[in-house]
Amino acid sequence: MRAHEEDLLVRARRGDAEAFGQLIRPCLDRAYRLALRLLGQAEDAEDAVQDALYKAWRGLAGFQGRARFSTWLYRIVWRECLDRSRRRDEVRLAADVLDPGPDPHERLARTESRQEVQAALLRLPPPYRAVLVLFYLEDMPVKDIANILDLPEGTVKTHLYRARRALRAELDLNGDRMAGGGRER
Amino acid sequence: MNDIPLSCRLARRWGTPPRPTSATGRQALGEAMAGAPAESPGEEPARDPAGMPSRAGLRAWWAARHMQRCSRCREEEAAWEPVQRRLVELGCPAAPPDLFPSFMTRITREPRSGEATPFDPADRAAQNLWRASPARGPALAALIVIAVAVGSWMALIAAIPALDDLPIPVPATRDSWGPWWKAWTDISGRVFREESTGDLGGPWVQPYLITVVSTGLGLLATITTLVLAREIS
Repeated sequence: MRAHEEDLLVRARRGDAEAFGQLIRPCLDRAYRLALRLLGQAEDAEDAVQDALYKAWRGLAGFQGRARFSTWLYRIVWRECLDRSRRRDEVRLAADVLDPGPDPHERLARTESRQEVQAALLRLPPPYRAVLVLFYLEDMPVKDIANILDLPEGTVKTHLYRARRALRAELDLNGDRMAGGGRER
Repeated sequence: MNDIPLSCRLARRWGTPPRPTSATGRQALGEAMAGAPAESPGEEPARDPAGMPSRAGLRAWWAARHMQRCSRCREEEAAWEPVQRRLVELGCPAAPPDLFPSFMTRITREPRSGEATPFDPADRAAQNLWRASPARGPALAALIVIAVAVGSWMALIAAIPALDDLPIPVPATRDSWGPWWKAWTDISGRVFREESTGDLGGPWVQPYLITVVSTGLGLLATITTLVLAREIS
């Protein structure tokens, strides 16, 4: 597998777009999910992934092959998303990317719950958002997350606990807000 | 965060929180989460091939044991569980089907040119200028050698005319060092000796002034060359 990847890398460095396509294909879904959870909007995520992939293609000479290609690629996606989220002022909901449920009532409940979680997630600082997404949604080892975010492993673990606490607080706060609103009515 | 005891903070830094999903169990989130067991610390820490417990292994073992024994950490894990359940319900949508084809169209249409991207994650040291990619190595090394040579030459040649005014024996061969030596002594002599009226503090000040100014010029040349080298690399 590694030898095949090496071969594709050599070809891609020579300008073989097809080889580069084969390299990025297995990483595409995960890169898109990462961007989606970090940015919250399907269109933004799609643009971010497109731009990140293009940067990877143009800067392939900078990849020295000492880490996995996928880790390098996710790192570019992460940086692209970070740049974009810094540029963006307002936080928007990602209602259009939520998977529909089977039953209408259940679907509504699940959609509301997901929207709430996604909104809470988007209110967290980007590094907290990233560690939660990569650790809990993408099942990535802490070492890989540390490589992608360019942080020491210990810091990633500390971020993880702080992110958990922050997300819990956001959701509790949101719940309290909704309950308060209900009482007022 | 200051209300958290030090032992709990260390356990968070050294240990990894239990994760309800496995790498292959993405589709079975509900079932996997129902009975997510905490990471077991085991009887003793993991050992390296030499049979000694590694530092990281000891830390992870201690952290996992702390997580099991500390009521505060257990409560936090219990409180986190429903939030985690909701978090993983966000699901894992696939990339839009047109993303890949449109990207491929884009890269086959546009020619590739160099652009800065993050360095190889496993090679953080590569972010250091001096450990840039091997292809740039020889050019960079040549520029550094030139810079150091120019700087050293200017500092040396600055010191020699100053020696004329000091009670130190000077090598007699300096006159045979060629046109560079002559040009330099002419310039430094004109600027610092002939046109100087001696108001700078007597015969001892001028040679030192020449040395300091010339060494400064040498350093400036070195720094300029290094900056240029960085730009080139």
